[in-house]
Amino acid sequence: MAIGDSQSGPARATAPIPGAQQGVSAIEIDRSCRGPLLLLLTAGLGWLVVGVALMLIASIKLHGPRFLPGTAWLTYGRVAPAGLNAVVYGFACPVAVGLVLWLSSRLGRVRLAGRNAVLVGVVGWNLGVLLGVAGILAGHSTGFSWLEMPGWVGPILLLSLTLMAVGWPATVAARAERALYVSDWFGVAVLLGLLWAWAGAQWFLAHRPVRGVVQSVVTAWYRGVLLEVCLGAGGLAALFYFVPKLAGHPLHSRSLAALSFWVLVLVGGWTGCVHLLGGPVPAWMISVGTVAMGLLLANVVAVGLNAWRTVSQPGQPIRWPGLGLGYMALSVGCYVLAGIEGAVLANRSVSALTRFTHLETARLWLMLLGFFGMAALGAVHELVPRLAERPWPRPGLARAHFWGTAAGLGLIWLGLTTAGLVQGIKLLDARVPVTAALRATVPCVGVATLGWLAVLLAQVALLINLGTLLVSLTAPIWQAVQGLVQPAERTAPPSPEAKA
Amino acid sequence: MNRAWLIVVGAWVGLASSFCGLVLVAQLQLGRLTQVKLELTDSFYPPSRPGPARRGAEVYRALGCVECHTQQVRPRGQGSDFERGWGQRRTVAQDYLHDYPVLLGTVRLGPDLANIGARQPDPDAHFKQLYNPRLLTEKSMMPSYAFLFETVAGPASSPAPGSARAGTTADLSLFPAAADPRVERLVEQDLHLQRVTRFRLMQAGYQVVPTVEAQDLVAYLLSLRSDTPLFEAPVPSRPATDAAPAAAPANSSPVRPATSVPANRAPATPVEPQAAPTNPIPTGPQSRPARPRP
Repeated sequence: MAIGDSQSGPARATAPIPGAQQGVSAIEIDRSCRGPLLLLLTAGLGWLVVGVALMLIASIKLHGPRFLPGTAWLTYGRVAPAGLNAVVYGFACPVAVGLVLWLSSRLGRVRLAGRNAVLVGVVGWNLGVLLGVAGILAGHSTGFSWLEMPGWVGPILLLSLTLMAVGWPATVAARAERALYVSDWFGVAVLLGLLWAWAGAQWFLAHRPVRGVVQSVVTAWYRGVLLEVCLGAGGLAALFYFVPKLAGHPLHSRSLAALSFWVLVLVGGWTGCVHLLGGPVPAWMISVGTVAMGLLLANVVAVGLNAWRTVSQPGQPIRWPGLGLGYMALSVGCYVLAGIEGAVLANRSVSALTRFTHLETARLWLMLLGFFGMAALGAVHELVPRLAERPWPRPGLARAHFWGTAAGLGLIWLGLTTAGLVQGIKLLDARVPVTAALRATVPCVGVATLGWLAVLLAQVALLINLGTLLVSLTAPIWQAVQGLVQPAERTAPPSPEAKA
Repeated sequence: MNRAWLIVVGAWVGLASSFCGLVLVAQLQLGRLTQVKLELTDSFYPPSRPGPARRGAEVYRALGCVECHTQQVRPRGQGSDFERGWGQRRTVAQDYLHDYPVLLGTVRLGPDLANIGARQPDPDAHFKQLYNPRLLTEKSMMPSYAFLFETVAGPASSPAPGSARAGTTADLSLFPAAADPRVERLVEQDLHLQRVTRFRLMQAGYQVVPTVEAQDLVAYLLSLRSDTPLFEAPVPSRPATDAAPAAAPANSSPVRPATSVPANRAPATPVEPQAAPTNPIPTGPQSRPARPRP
C-alpha cells in the first residue's frame, strides 16, 4: 500500500514546484500527530458508539412506543436529538477537523504545529459535547433542530474548536511542499465553515436571540452550512486524498476538483432553507434553497466522475488494495445518491408528498453516515495503523466493521425511505387517520432498527479493535513500571502485554 | 490554486454571502414584526401567553415534543393539512412572534399541533392523551407521558362504572371528583396556583393526578391556535360581509367581479381598495393590520 510513501499518489498529481524543500519524512509527520489525533479519533469513535446506541433506542421507540417508558430522560423527544448531537458533534465535527489537520501536515510535509493547543482543544470539545448531550437528556434542549445542546455549551465548544483549528494555519504556512493539494482547499471550508456557522448560530439563537421565525431561518442556514459545506468538505477532503492514494493512480482532474470546491463553497451555504419548505417564511428563501440544492448536483457529478476516472484507468483492471478503498467507494456512492435525493426532495411539488416524513431523515443519515461517516471511518482505518505504527491487531474485526457498517447503513436507508414513502402517501390522503399512516410504516421502521443494530455492533467491533491496539501501545509503559516495581526479580516471566 | 489566502478568501466570501443573504436579510425582512391590532375585537395579535402556558412551552421544549409534532399549516395544495382540519388558514410569521424557541418541527410522527387548542379545547382529553394515548386512540403510536402524573391512593370504596375492569391502564376511566384528603390537598394547591383541573383517573383504588408540569403543558397546548384571520393569511371559508355586503356569496364564483380587486387576491378576501398587495409573499415588515371578519 502506498500510504506511507509520500512521493506517490496525490502529491504526484500536482505539478512539483521547482526548488521546493524536501520536507520531513512521513513517519516523523505521523509521530507529530500521534498524541492529539489518537485521542481525537478514539473519543470520536466512542461518541459514534454512544450516538448510534441512542439512535437505536429512538428507532425502537418508533415502532414500539411502550419501549423504555417511565422516565423523562429516555423519552423519544430527548433520545433522538441526543443521538443526533452525539453523532454530529461527538463524532463528525472533531473527526473532520482531525483529518484536515493530519492532511495539512502530510500534504505540506511538515510536522503538525500547535499540538498542545490541539490536545487541549480536543479535551475541551469532548467535555463540552458531554455536557451538551447530558443536557439534552436532562431536558435542557434548546429545541432548535441540530442545535439542541444548551446555549451555555456554545462558548466552550467555540473555544475548543478554535484551539483545535489554530494548528492549521501555522502548519500550512510552514509547509515544505508549496503546491496546495485539493484536500487542503476543502480543509479551509471545514474549519472556516465550522467556526463561522457555530459562532453565528449561537449568537443569534442563544445570546442575542432573534425574534419569531427568523430563529428558524438561522437554524436552517446553520444546518445547511454544517451538513453540506463543513461535513461535505470534510468527507471530500478525505476522499480526494485517499481515493488516489489507495487506487495507486494520480487524481483524474484537478480542474474538476476545483469546480467541486467552488460550487460547494459558493452554493452550499444557501441550501438550508429547503428544511423550511411550506413553512411560514418568505417564499424566496425556500426557492433559493431549492435552486442551491439543484446547483449542488454539479458538484456531485464532478466528484463522482473524478473518483470514477481516478480509480478506473483505461485498459487496467481496478485494484482493490484492501478495505480502505471499499469505504471510499461506498462514500462516493452515498454522496452521489444523497445529492440526487436532496435535489429531488427540495422540489416544491415533490415536497407535498415527502415533507415531514422519514424520507428526509433517510437522506440525512445517508449524507451524515453514508457519505461522511464512511469516508471518515475509511480514513480512520488507514490512519490509525500509521499513527500507532502497528497494524490493526484483529483484521477480522476490521472486516466485520466494514461489512457491518455498510449493511447497517443500507438497511437504515432502505427502511426509512420505504417508511417515508408509505407515510407520505398515507398522510397525503386526508381520509387515512394519522395513527393508521404511522402503523403502516412499522415494518419499514423495523428494518431501519435492524440497520441501527448492525451499525452499533460494527462500531463496537471497531472500538474493541482500537482498544486492543491502544493497550498494546501502552505495553512498554507497563513493562517499565513492572521493571521499576520488581527490579530484583530478574527471572520474572514476561508479562502477557509484552507477548501481545 | 496554490495560494492559501485565495482559498481562504474564497471560502469566506461563500460563507459570508449565504450568511448575509439568508440570516441578515431574513432579519431585515421579518425582524421588525410587531403585534398587530385586530380592529373588530380591539385586541392584539398574537396575544401573549398566560403564565401556565408559558411554563408549558418550556415543558414542551424540554420533552422534545417537536421531534414528532410540527406546528405549521402549509399553504393549500401542499399536503393535506387543510383537508385534515389542522388549520383554517396557513400559518405565517406573525403567528410565531412570541415563541422562543420557535418550534416549527421537521417531522410529522403525529398530527400537527398549530391549532390543537382550537381543535381539542377539552383539557381532560389532553390529560388522557398524555397519560396514556391508547385511552383515546386504540393503536396510537405516541409514547405515554405517565411520568407527568402522580398516583395517589384514592377512594377504593367508591366504585364507578368501568372500574370493575380495572387492572390495566387501558381500563382507566375519568372520574369527576375526589374524596381522598391527599387529593383534596393537591386540588387546593391547584386552586392556590390558579391551575384548576378536574381531571382524575382511577385505577383499582388509585387516583392519577396531573403534576404541575402536565397542567402547564396542557395550558400551553390549549393556547396553541393560529386561526385568527390576518391580512396576509385570511380565513378563506368564511364569507366576507364587512367590506362587500352586497357582493355575491364568496363561493359562487372563483373570481369576484369587483373592479378594484387585484387578480392575485383570494376569492373570499374582502375588498380593501387602499390595500392592494403587490407582494405575494405573505409575510414581511410591510404586514398591514389584521382585519378580522365576524
